[in-house]
Amino acid sequence: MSLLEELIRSIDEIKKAASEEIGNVASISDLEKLRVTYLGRKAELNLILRQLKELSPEERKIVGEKANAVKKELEEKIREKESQLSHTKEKKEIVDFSLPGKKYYVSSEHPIQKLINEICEFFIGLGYEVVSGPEAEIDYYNFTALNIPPYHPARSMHDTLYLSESTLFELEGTEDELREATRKIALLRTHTSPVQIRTMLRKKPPLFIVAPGRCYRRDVPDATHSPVFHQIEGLAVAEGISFSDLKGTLELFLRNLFSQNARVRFRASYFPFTEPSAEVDVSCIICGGDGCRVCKDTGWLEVLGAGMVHPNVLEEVGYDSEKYTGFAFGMGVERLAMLKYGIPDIRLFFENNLKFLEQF
Amino acid sequence: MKVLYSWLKEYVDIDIQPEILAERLNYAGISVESIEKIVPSFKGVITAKILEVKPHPNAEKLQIALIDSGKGTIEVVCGAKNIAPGQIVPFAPEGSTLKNGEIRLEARKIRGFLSRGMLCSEAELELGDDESGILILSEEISGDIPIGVPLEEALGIKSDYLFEFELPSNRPDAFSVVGIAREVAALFNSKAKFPDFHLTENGPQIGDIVKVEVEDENLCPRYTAKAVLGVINKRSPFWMRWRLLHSGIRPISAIVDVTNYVMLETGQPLHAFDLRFVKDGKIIVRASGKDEKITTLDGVLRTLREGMLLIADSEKPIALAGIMGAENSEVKEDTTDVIIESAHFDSKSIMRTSRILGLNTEASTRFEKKVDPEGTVFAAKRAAYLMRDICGGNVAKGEVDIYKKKAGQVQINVRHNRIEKLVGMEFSKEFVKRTFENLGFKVEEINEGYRLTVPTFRPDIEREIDAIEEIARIYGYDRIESTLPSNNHIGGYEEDLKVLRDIRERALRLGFTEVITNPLLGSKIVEISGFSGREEEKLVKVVNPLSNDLSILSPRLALNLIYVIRNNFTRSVRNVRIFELGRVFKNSDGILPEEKTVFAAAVCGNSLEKQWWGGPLNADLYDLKGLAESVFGAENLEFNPLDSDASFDGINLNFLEGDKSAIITSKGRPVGYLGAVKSEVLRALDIDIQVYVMEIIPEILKSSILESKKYQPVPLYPAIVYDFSFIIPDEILYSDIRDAIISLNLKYLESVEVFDVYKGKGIEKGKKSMAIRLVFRSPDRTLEESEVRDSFEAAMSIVKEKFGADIRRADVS
Ligand SMILES: [Zn+2]
Repeated sequence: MSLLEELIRSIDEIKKAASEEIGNVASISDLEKLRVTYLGRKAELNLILRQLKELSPEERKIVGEKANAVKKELEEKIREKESQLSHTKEKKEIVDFSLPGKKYYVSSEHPIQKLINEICEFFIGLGYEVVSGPEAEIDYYNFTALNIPPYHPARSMHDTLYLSESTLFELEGTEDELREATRKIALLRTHTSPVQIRTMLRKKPPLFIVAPGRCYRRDVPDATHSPVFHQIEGLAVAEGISFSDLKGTLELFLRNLFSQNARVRFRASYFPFTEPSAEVDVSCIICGGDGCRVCKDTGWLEVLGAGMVHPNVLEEVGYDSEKYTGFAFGMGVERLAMLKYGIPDIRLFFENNLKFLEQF
Repeated sequence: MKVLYSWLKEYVDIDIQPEILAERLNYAGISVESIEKIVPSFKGVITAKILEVKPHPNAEKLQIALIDSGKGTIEVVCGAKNIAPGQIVPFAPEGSTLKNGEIRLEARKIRGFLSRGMLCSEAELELGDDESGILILSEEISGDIPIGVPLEEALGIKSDYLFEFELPSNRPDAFSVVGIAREVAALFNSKAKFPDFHLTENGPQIGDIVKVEVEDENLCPRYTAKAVLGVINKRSPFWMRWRLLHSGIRPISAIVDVTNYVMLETGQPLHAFDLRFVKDGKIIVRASGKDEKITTLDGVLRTLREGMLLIADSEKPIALAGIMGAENSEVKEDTTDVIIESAHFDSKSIMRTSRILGLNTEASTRFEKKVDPEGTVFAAKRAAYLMRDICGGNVAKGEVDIYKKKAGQVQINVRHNRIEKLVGMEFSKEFVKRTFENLGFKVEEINEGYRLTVPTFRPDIEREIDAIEEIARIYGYDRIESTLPSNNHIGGYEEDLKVLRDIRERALRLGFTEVITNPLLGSKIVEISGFSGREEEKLVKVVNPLSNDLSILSPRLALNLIYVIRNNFTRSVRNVRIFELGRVFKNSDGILPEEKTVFAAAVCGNSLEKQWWGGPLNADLYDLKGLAESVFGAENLEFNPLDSDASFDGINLNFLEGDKSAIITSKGRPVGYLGAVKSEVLRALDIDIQVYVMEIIPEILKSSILESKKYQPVPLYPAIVYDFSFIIPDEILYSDIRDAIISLNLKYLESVEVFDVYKGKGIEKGKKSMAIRLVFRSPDRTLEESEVRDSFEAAMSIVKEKFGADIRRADVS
């Protein structure tokens, strides 16, 4: 058989086979496959056309015309079949929208970190820098530099976990010697306030920072106590900062965190590193202030400790306490998260049960 | 501290609703935790006079009392023996109730005799715990007691409130009724008054009875003593017991109760010694010697360290100064001669002793906060007065008062404009001056403000700022306006935190759930993880842990994640895909341990569960490798199989399966590890499926995250893609194949990528099939297949020749 005959036969066979298959096809997607098989770049008809260069010009014309005619014919058939199928399609292909969507990797944020980020972002908006510090800390930064020298009564309020044998209560010596000794005692920080000291030691005012982080206390775990917890510390030091500025900042913050309608109140309190000091309450988010179990019928929830930075603290880091004033505040993140999400037990945060975490 | 409102009102003239008072005190920092309305649990109980007591006709143990109830005489049956004609007693008539209505009294026959009501004991009335006899009002209350009036009126306990205060630790003065009265006075622009009394001293000279020697005036700047002789120690009167009980102090005997009462009243802790047991009446205040012993009032024999402050006589210690008395000199029922100690001890010394012995008392907590050194004489006199008033006897003339180290007078200047600048608002000079005065300061107006003389009971006022707080506090924080500081900084995260935030976001995007764990681990996990011997010295331990389970700071965050998996296992959650950004700790040569922030992740079970359309996908090491590559960039990481006793960052990796684990490096520097957790470790934690963990220190890799993104041209022209698959021996790694192809330096080769690896059915043992895709592309035109066909052939032949690959398929697509 000559190549010409062979090619013409092939074309006829392709036409026959294709027509048959197109006739039998039952879905648009199968039809689409046929289109690729018979008309695509790698389809046999195209391969035949590539062999034309081996024929004489007359033969080329014959085969070329024939192949193109078949191609047109098949295209037409496919179009026809397509319109046919699309009319009957609704009956045959049912999309079951009641099937669940495909679940790929679904992850959750930890509610504590989520809240920390939310709070930090608020303060970033006010021009604060987010900074951090070590969790294993020297006594000097955790206490002494914060106006809590050795033998200060406030030391007993913090049940501290020590990393080095604390001999403070046995040391004899002058006040200065004892203060120096606290530079050699390692502990787990009981609050994020030492980050204030570390930051002030390396930066000059004006200074606006927030420091989130993990803290430790020697607390027996129960529904509201955990030996490890998170705090966010805030510090603003500049010329002319006043208690009014502290009030305004925290009121804005708490209304942003809880609700536009939340009321905020400041009560006098005592922290060694601030003066004047305040405890800050927000109107109960559960009962709106009418009194309920969560707020112990007071209508208020204590959420923050704050105050004007004590001049002793500013002087300890070498700031001019006449020229610069500042405020500081600190909050327990777990407590805020418990209030915000209605979580009854602080231990849930550290158990990391995935059924708990996937709610956030 | 708990105080009855009626008691407080004795020292300040106010008539305010308790809730309103509480609110103002709250704002001023004298926090009121609760207000409890004090209501007697009885109703309808009245006073009655016993006219006659006669035996019960049918019962030996009972008596019949004929009483005058104010509305005539009534006969009642009574079992108590302490009744006698002439006494005034509480009488619960028919129709009255006891114990909040639990008991309703009716006339009833007792052993054949009709009793119309009953006489009551303190316990039955719930006024105290004494149930030994009837409460004899005529012995408890001085003066005439009307008959037939409600009992609560006669006792003066009608409508009272109990305030519970949470007091700031820097305000020793506020730990007393007088101190709180002073605060109330300042808040309501009134004046507080001290208890008023006249002390009669008609005993011998104090010097003939007590001699005091203070050996260390630094530890005991002041020691005051008074003596009351010839007392009869008995129960203290009802009013005193009532107040003590409500303040949370159990009444014991009049002498002891008076010392506690005066401590609550004035804030000055007192101690009473029985003169009999003080040898030669000589009190020596001295430091303890080595291993000296004392049995304190709580019955505990304590061995002291050298240098603890003691009160002793010439033979023995008789009290742990400022903390607790000793049993050997305790006041007893038959005590007749009393020495009252009213001293000022150094707060540090008290704190030190109290901490070392683990002994906190009402007295020690007050001394720790620095009690007013000027208050000792007043308190001693007040106690002597009350003792004599209740127990009779004679007060010795004068007092011993050794006050060698006088408290200096603190004077500070307060600038008016500094107050305004700090608080952020204007104040009238009149308000400022008045407030200081009401708080007990002496005020002298000077040019720029005020010169204050600080009262000795306010050790917290040391400099200007402390005085400014007083103004803000008494004015009320609620009335200070709100402003925002001017701040022209641009906020943001410091560099390290920016890195962590980005890592976190990338891990979340890849479907890893964030966890936060407690870094404090127990010794068990550390043990089963293979930290022993020299390794153990690297662990950072808490010296005073709450328990063994919370004693070691995690050296490997992966261990914490294994614990999370275990927690979830116990709740039937078996598919876990988690990460944490936390800290790990290791001992160092310095004071602080080495502390590093690490990124850890763990997987087990299925990473994708079986669903109707497909799955499941098993979680394995490549989930973690993929995480590492997506977070830090595959080009920055190398994964090298573990050596036999491999370690990372100086700590061993004994808890990993050596042949299924790798050290991760970046340009040759170790940055982390990943691997399969040993089955022994998992078994010990009751985990029965394979767990994979990874830990990376981001510090070294942070440039890969911080690096600012630069635009790369998007490919414009189509690529030519070749796939080929082949069979090779199992030990040949993908990287061997990839590197061999890359080493050919093929023109237009854009990427080499493996897209299938298969071992098992249909493939000879010890071999695997692998499929590779090569992508060729020109940046400036469309390639013809013929241009790269030879390159593709070359790639196939090198794989064939170098690795003995058996090529199965080759396609261009
Ligand atoms: Zn509420």
